[in-house]
Amino acid sequence: MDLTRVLAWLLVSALMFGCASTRAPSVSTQSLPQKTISGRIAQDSLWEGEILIEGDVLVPPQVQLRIAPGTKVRIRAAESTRIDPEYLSPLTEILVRGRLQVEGREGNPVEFVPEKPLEGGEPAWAGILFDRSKPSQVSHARIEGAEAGVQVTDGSPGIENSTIHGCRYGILVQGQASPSIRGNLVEKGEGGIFCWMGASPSLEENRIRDNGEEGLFIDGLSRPTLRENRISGNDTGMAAAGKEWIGDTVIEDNRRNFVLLPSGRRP
Amino acid sequence: MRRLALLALGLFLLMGRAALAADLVYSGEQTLYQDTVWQGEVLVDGILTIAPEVTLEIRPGTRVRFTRIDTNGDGIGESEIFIQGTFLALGTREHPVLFTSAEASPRESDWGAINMMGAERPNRMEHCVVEYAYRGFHAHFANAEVRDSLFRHNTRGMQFQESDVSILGCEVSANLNGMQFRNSKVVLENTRVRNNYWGLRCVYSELEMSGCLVEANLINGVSLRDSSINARGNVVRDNRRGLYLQASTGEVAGNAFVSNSENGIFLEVSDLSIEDNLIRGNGRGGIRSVDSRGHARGNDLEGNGEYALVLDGAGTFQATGNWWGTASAVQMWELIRDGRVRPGMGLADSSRPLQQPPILGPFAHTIE
Repeated sequence: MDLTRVLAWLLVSALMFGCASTRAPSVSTQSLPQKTISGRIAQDSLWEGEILIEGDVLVPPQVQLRIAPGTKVRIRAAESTRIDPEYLSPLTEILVRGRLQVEGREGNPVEFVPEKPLEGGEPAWAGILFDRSKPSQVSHARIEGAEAGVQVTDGSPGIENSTIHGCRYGILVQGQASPSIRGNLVEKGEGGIFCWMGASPSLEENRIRDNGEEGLFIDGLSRPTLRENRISGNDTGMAAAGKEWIGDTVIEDNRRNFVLLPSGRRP
Repeated sequence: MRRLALLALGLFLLMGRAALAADLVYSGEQTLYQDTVWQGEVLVDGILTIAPEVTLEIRPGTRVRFTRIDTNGDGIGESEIFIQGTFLALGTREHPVLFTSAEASPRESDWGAINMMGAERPNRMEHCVVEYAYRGFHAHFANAEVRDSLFRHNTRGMQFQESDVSILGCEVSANLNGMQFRNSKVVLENTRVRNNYWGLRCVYSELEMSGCLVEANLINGVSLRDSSINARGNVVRDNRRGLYLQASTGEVAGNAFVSNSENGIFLEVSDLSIEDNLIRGNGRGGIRSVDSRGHARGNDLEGNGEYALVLDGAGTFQATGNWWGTASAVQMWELIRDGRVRPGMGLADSSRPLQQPPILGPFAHTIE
């Protein structure tokens, strides 16, 4: 074989190798190996396929975490009662101070479920906690078995078209938080959506049903906006510091449809 | 033009040095092997260890600044004082001792901690301000008294493990988390814990608290797990949960648990004596007891949101001799949720209710 042919063969081989290495993988996300994650996420990241969270996860202020459609996130229960200073719960938590983009789609949601449910229906993990977070969005997620499916203590994430199932608090909003909460189903937990200590979320077109305690709780200091929500099958439909909060909310078939709370002024 | 540029460069360098100028500078890893007194300006630019048997005394008005060193990029500063000897930081009201960041734009976790390990001789902090640390004061196996000091803008204000500690007349505010104790004995008097996420958390610890104000903490005001509490004359208000006990025991008497958004007192698998407290205006309920024992007597349980008392779990809860906000037996029963409403749950003995509010207080801090 002369030199020209050798070089040509090498060139063709290199081109074929280069093309193969840049071709998008044809395997489905289900066949991606499970990735185990804990700790502080150091740089912008994408999760896809099977993810196991084996310890607290922190998305710091300068980082964006994206989670691709169809990703299954399993959370391992914490084995100790320890809380490191920068975290908020003794349970395993996903703590967001940067940007979180949960990019589920209709028919292909992102799942957040315990690796193993705990006995007696106790929460197995803390939930997704937004604390002074950058603009974030949770779309078409399914969140199960958490202390709070989503907790917002500061910031304005969007939570939409998601199912929050079997959590102690479905969605918990407090302090300076003003998230947009739209089109979600919050069901079969201890309570549905809680607005505490001056929270001001926007609640639109949510269904809150079959929770063991309150469907929607608005304390005397909070100022949510409500539009076209439906609350049914809970022990208490709405507990709020004034009947003006009912607005156009459909509250029906709860053991108690409405409870009036103290106004928020000290006794 | 060149001369102007050189002049500008010289001025710039001089300003930089002036910002970090100090009477004493400790860079890198250094150890004090003999008793030392600080006064004036001190810069810690690394890890300074106080050796066993050595005393570091810090005099009134001293400013101790820590540079921001973060070699692993985790956002947690590494400059610290590590004490194995004795630590005496003794400011005065007029001239406190300041521990702070050396940065022009300080933020929490700029520096590591006043870190104490195995320092069993009495260590004292008086009239100090500790700010912008990861852990303001962190101690293992230590004996410490902290008096009249302010801990603010830290990731955690104070953390003690296997320690005996007295905290008197302090303020712990605007930290991410206020105070945490593990396997420790804690005396907390006349101290304000406010505007943190967790106010005060105890695990495997003994807590005595009196005359304290715990307010506006976003998660829990006072939280105990596998611990004991003796609380008298405190005001716990405007938190999410006021007092939260998990697998814990104790007595709370003569306190005010008011206007907490969730529950004034929340018990899980605990045993608590609740006597002569003002428990009013709490959003979800006054007292919630889950699989717990104990009794509530002589309390004012008027004006809580959904219920005055909720029992979840088996067994009887003694709740005799309380004021429920009404003299009507029918109205009183509507304020209690127990096995009568939820079959399978325990029953509350609410016999012999008070016919009018008990006279409680005065409290060390105003309620309104």
